[in-house]
Amino acid sequence: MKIIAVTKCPVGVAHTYIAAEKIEKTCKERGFDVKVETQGSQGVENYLTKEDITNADYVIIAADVAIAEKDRFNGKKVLEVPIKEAIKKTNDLLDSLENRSILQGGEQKVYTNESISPMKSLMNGVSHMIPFVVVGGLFIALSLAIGGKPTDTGLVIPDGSIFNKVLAIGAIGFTLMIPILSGYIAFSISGRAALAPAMICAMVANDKDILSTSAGTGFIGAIITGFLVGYIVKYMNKWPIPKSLRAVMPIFVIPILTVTIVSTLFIMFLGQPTAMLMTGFENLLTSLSKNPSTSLLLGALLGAMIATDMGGPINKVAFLFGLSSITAGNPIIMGSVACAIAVPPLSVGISTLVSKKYYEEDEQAAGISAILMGLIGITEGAIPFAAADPKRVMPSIIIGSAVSGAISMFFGITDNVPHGGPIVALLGAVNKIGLFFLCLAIGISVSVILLHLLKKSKK
Amino acid sequence: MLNKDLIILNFETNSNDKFDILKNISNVLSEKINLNNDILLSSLIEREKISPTAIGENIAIPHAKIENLANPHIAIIKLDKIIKWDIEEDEDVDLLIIMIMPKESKENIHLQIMSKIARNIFNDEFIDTIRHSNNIDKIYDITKKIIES
Repeated sequence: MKIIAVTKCPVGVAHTYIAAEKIEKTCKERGFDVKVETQGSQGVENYLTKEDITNADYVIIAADVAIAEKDRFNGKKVLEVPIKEAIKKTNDLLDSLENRSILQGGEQKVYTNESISPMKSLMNGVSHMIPFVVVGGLFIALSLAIGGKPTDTGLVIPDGSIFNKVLAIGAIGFTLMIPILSGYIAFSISGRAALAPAMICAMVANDKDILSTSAGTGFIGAIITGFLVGYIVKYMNKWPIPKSLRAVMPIFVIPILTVTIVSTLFIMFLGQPTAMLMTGFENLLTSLSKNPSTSLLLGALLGAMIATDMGGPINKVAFLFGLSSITAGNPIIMGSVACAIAVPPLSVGISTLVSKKYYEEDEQAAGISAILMGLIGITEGAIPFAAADPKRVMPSIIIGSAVSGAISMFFGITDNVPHGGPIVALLGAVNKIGLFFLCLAIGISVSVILLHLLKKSKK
Repeated sequence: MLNKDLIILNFETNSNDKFDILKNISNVLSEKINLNNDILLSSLIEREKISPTAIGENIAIPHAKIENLANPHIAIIKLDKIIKWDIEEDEDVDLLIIMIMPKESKENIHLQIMSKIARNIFNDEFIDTIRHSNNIDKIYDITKKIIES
């Protein structure tokens, strides 16, 4: 049973809060879900959102004066009582909900000025994305771990193996995570009309052929399209539209216009810079690799790049650079990349275990699968964490990966298979297995400690 | 805002009428907090007339919003006998938790503290201590604990 309530009294100093407390306490004693909005002299607190209202079984309005935005509750079973009754006879009130509540007529009015913080929108996207990352990552990890054979082109599953199908299923999960992240960021900002355009635009932003680049913009592109679409649709929702046309707005006009605008923006203004960024990094890596004295710097840069966008363009440049080093007969660069690849997912996963209190429940679940993905060298396992809290997670994993990459370069670790993580060592593609794991351990320790310190400072 | 001076045990009622008692209380409080008695009394009575502030368990919470008040105040007053506070709803009261607030509180912190007190009106530890203790320090400490929680 879920009960929501609004309390409001004439002065807004005392009864509003007493009633709120009494209702919360009594509902909790009965094991009910409860949320109480107070409309007091501090303004509205604990605002009941559209989602709260949709999920509620009953609405209690405990007020001696008219409450604000009462038509939010249209279509719900509402019981209105004087505020004193809610304070003095809370138990009777809950008992009588079924008999005394009245269905409030009319269509539910949605207040679009519900102020949702960008942080909350981001979290909405991330929490919807997590299961996609988990399913995709675990299927890919499982298929590669059991069915993969190390080759010049990476861990490859032989033709005809059932694990090719498992891998393909996992790949679908990974493909979907991008539009889901973007779509649900936009959905939380401006509702249904924003979902389709955000999902389509995120796919556009990740399609290298449409963008005319050699890589899509990864999860960072998805976050950008999510917010961009969300705010554009929010703006369009405010246009004064004649009533006869209102119905076609969210299913026709808004999606088509928004997809056109945002896709054009990405193709015209982001495709080119992304391509230039990639060329720039490539040139930098080439020049660093030519001089032995800058090899530590090269390792650190490769590590940092791997962790920066996890599957996005910068990551891709570093990985391809490692790949070409194998064919050029200098697999020491791939060794450095292989170390760095596993640091982000293993670090965030271990961090959810050692710094448990700083993570939400769904993040803790995602942490376990991040560890498994890390073991198989799938950096993407860290994406939900980086997307949810970029300011703290990104620096931590970038520094840890950079440290790992640099130390690997120092030890001269090589990797003959264009793939990363502990699995390449176990498959015998790495020259110095003990040192390889030492590099990983040091990089991970750095990241986990940084994560702990930065997350702590937030609290 | 919290002051041991404003915790009064065994307040002499001298009457059975709540408005008489409010008048006496206003006299005492206005002197202690250096506020115009008429303003305080009229504000308390005005609120009481909208709807009596008895909230069950023999507790009432008279409150007033005063213009240009520098600091909010909380007074805890235990009456020397039980008084009929709300005739309509048949409510008796012998414990008053009075909140005196600035009308235009720019510092939201005051309002937050008051809502904390309000939210703890049915907190057993808080109310039992006030009710059963005759030690002003103890009552002060528990109230302070609530405010700072």
